[in-house]
Amino acid sequence: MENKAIEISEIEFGYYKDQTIFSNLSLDVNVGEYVCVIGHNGSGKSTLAKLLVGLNEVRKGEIKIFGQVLNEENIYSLRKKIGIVFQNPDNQFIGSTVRDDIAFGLENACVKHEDMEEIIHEYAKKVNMEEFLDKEPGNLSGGQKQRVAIAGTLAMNPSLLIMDESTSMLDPKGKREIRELTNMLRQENKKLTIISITHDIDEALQADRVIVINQGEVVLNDKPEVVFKNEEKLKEVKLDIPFSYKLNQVLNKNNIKVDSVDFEGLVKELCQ
Amino acid sequence: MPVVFSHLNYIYSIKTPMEFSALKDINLQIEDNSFTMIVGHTGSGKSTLVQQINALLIPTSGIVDVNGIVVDCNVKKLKNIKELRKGVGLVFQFPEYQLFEETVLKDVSFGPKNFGVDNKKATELAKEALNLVGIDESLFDKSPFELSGGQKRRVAIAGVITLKPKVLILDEPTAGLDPQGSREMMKLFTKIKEQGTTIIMITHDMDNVIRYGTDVVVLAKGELIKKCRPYELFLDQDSFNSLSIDEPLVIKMAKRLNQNGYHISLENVIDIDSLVQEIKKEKRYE
Ligand SMILES: Nc1ncnc2c1ncn2[C@@H]1O[C@H](COP(=O)(O)OP(=O)(O)OP(=O)(O)O)[C@@H](O)[C@H]1O
Ligand SMILES: Nc1ncnc2c1ncn2[C@@H]1O[C@H](COP(=O)(O)OP(=O)(O)OP(=O)(O)O)[C@@H](O)[C@H]1O
Ligand SMILES: [Mg+2]
Ligand SMILES: [Mg+2]
Repeated sequence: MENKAIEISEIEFGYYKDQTIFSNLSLDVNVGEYVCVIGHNGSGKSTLAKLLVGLNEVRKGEIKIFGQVLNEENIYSLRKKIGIVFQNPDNQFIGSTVRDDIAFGLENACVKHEDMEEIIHEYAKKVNMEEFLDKEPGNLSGGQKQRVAIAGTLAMNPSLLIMDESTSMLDPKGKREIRELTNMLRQENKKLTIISITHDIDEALQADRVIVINQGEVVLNDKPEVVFKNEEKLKEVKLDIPFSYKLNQVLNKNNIKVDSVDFEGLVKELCQ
Repeated sequence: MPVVFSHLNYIYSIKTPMEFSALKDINLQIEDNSFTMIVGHTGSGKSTLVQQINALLIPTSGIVDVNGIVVDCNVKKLKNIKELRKGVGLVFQFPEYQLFEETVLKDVSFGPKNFGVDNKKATELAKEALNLVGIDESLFDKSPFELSGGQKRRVAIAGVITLKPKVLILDEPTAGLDPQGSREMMKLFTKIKEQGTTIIMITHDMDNVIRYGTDVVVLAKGELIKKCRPYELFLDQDSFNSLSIDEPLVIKMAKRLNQNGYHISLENVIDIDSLVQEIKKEKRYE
């Protein structure tokens, strides 16, 4: 049984000849892992996502998905296993109603017609969009579009789920609901691999692993607790540390000595 | 410039089976030179509301009054609309719908040119604005459609600030920006406010609401629920719970400490530094 979902080895890529986004990038993601990718604007996160689904081809090196080297022949069969939610949800809508849109995806995933309606309802409900099934995706609010894009992708039951800032326009509660939803899916299917590209540090804190990209290179790659201890490095690459880490620092700078770097721990220490 | 809504209603696809009432009897005054934050659940009508201000959407009934220019269902006089749009700049929630020129530089200089600024001056203004939003010169000749998501948003913001509008409307301007970019952008908006502009910003980020907002407006299901000072929103636990708004973490921390014997005044807490200053005032740290 293959235990790597993704193996990227020494890839080089640019959109045109004299452009280099990745000069020599290598990365692995295990089956069942939940990885957050963070990095400054233009660092190459979405480009990486597009390479993983074969929308662009690498110049050098190779990408293996579930053990198979990605190439023109197997891309269509591999895509059945990969679900991607694009950064702009409008780039992904094809149906003229929310219902049709989810149905298109299901058709591609070879779901039987008689099962479709039930699945559509199930996933629309999971993202709180059941009332909107007859609406045109283009006529939804920003957050509603993101919810529909997520529902459509999850309904296809992918083994590898790539989310490119797919909750950036949801309120914090909406973000949490989607995270609970993906957590639940991971409970049900221990082999579900998730790569989430995000600027949301709170989300990154929940991941199994955080990968930090700077100008097309991996600069940190570890458990969140370890990554967020590198304040200097993170600042250097235009990123930030979570709230409770920052509060810990400012307190210590002001001679209020605390050790905790989590919210509840800080409350406890401050109230001793 | 002040912006006043009275009895404003907006219905999408009116008189069709898809008819949807998105704004219901909105009465609201946005003060001149305020930094007004608009918050509310997904689909509550925030984007619909701000698009009435520069007549991208025309009220179904009722009016918006922007410093004396009135937008109502009878506005047909294009001259008025052009004057209005010169004073009111809007950055869309999805920046791609705002970008259209061949290159980044042309895109950002389009606005000033459109309002009669000569080529050279427009290019100068554009370069200045791009610099302010953190777009490197190496991207100036690129197609705006070949940028990353965050880069597109920055360019869209630059395109609007070159117009030096009197009212600057920002629909989730920090979504998709990296943490440093987001902080710098908020500082830039604050600077623009200090130069006399009224800023109206839609956001889900409550930390920004208390840190930078002078006022906050809450919408729910197309109705105006509340307009108050940012800290006031978080005084009454029940009301904001029912609005499904999250407390900023600094406020959450201050409240937890107060439950355990601290005496922090919430209105003084706008960020981590001010929170720590308040904590230091406690007896136990004297
Ligand atoms: N279609 C394209 N053609 C040419 N260059 C591109 C294209 N798309 C992106 N780029 C460039 O490639 C670099 C990486 O872009 P990418 O979209 O991968 O960044 P990102 O990490 O996703 O950033 P963001 O956080 O802003 O979404 C950027 O400098 C961008 O300008
Ligand atoms: N073009 C349209 N046609 C019909 N209904 C629309 C259209 N645009 C928006 N709506 C509906 O109007 C309501 C308000 O939408 P709006 O975009 O103003 O919400 P919002 O508060 O900005 O939400 P978000 O935080 O998700 O961006 C939503 O229920 C949406 O589905
Ligand atoms: Mg991106
Ligand atoms: Mg909106």
